Amino acid sequence: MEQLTSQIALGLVSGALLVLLALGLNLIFGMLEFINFSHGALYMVGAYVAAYVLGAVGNFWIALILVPIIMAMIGAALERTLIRPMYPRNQVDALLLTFGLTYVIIEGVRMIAGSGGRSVAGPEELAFQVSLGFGRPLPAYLLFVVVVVGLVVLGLWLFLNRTNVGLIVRGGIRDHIMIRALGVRFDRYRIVVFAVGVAVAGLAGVLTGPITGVYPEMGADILILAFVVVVVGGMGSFWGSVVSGLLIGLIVAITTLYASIYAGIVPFLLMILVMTFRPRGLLGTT
Amino acid sequence: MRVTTSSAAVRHLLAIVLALLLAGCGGSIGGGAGGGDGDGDGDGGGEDTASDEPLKVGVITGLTGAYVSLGEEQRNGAELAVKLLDGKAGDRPIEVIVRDDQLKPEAALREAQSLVQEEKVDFLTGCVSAATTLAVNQVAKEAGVPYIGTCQTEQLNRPPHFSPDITYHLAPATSLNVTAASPWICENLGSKLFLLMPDYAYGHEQNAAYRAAAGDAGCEIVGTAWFPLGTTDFNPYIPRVENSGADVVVFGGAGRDQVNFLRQANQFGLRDNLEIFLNIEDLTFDEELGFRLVEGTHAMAHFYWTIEDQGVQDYVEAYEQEHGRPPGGYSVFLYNALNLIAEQVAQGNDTPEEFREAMEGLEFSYAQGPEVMRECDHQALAPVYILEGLGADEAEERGGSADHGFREIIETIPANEEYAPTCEEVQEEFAPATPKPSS
Repeated sequence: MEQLTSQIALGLVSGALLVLLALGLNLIFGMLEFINFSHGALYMVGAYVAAYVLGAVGNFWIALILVPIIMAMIGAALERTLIRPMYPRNQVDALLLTFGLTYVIIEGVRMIAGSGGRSVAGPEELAFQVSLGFGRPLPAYLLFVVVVVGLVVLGLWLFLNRTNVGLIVRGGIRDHIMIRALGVRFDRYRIVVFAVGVAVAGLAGVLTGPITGVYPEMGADILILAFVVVVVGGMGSFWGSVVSGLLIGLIVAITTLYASIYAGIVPFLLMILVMTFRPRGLLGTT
Repeated sequence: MRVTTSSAAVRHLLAIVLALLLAGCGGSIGGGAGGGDGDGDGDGGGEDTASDEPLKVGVITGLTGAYVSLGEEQRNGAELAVKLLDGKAGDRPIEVIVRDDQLKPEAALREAQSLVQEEKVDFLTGCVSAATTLAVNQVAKEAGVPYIGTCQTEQLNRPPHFSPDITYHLAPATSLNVTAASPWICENLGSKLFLLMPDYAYGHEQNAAYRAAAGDAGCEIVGTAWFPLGTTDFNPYIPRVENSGADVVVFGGAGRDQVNFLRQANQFGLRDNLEIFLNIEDLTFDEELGFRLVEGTHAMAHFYWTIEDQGVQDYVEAYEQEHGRPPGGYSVFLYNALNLIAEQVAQGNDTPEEFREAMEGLEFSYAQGPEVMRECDHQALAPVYILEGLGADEAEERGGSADHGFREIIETIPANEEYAPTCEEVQEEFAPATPKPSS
């Protein structure tokens, strides 16, 4: 039993990181109706930027604040140049563009930083273990990650529901002529949403660095899972991604305990089940 | 944040499916489709006379994917061998053509076929994964081109894969190393082993080998857990290992899997309660680990750059000059393979039949100490080394560096045929105790 509770706690930790990655992906998809296949590569870039910032200033907390800002600027530049011309085109074009972009980014990072990975030191202040009162003690850093993810989820939800950004962008996607006629500078709002999505990917990169290190293919490995989370949760559904990310983390962790050989495929089995019996996703609307 | 246009939803879904398909194809993203990295060290001169027709060696290795660092080492080893041979095998210029198998059997098959049909290579070598080596061997057999395998596998030397005219194996059979090292592990680290293994051929071979060897070595296997190749999140495995009652966790993964596992095990303080034994070691992994994670772990290896042997030290020196750090063990397999081929071709043994005759029972020593090529299954028998990772303080005095740490050779287990499967056993197909995974 104690083992199971440990496993549940660890599953939620793994799930939290998936939630963060899926949320950025789903934000851009849900608001802009744009599938950003390069999301994983941008997450990787965020992790590398964090490694460089850490190398330069030697302080994890500065990296934690700075990297999302840098990534937001990269996201904005990307939106302004490559992404914007794709909005009027069909989604397959956008998909192919960002798919190609993924390769370009990965090869670019290989050229600059080499194909080997590098390790990233976590914050010294969190290099201890915390007893939760159940299960085994967990590294404080992992709990910190969960707290940060929780704050980001809350922040994004407020951003979408307590500001008019969400409303305007959704309206603009339906009828961009009308929204412009109302005097709204629609393009600016769109760029903000894309930049926020990329910043969230970058933040996921910063947080993951001390756990797995950074390497050029790290985004490719996890992007597939992030897509599964989005599909299972319901495409475009905010809380769907949160619930499904945690659920998949949990299921993988529990499978690891009882039948580890299947741990790699359970997320995909879940996706098949959801696609079969609830095609719109757990919390998706039709 | 909801999509409300239902007509668009179907299109989105299709696009996502496409995305996932593409993702599947590009799982280990990188490299061009061909990945051809033609490297003509030879000048490929006049082809009319047989004597200076270039000796073409095709090297197929993983230059993208989870074991990229090993693949790059192999390329370095092959290129350095050609350089030190002045680009010649006797009179013939050596031309090495390196291809990327992306760690996928289908890519290995394609590249091997291209090397055989388009490049008309005389020899094939290279591999970092048990999955790809069998594919290359298959093509080699069909084409009648000798192939020297350079990655750990139990299956290459056995039916239905082994061909006495074609197949040679320089890397150890998986069980050879396990049988050699098990008594040391059980005596020195603890008698209850937990196996944490990658879920593909090599992991299943290790599992079978440890289970077969444990009894005689005085050990008990208390459990096995499997992780998919390329796992980034080992956290859920930690409590399972801890609660198994094991004294030692034997980790069977290589490359990034090993780095990720050790990093996360360290965060959990796993080494406070358990010994960690790495079934495979390479300096390129240590480069990502650094002192902190190398310290206190034990490992077995077929090579370490401090081995006291003239051939080894010559190679280490040349490699350091070229790449600024000592070589890892996977570069040595290719260095040895190129030397074996060049030496035999220089002596005129350049047809598959002559090559086979010369290789069987051959004693040789290049950069891995003295070895012998066993006649019955063409398995190279070489020493196995037990390594102990030292911390920064001790290591720096002994030539270790912050870049790649330092492991001390604390035991040398001499080459011994008894550790290998017997010549009778290798006549049978290899059947692991556990069912093989479908992918």
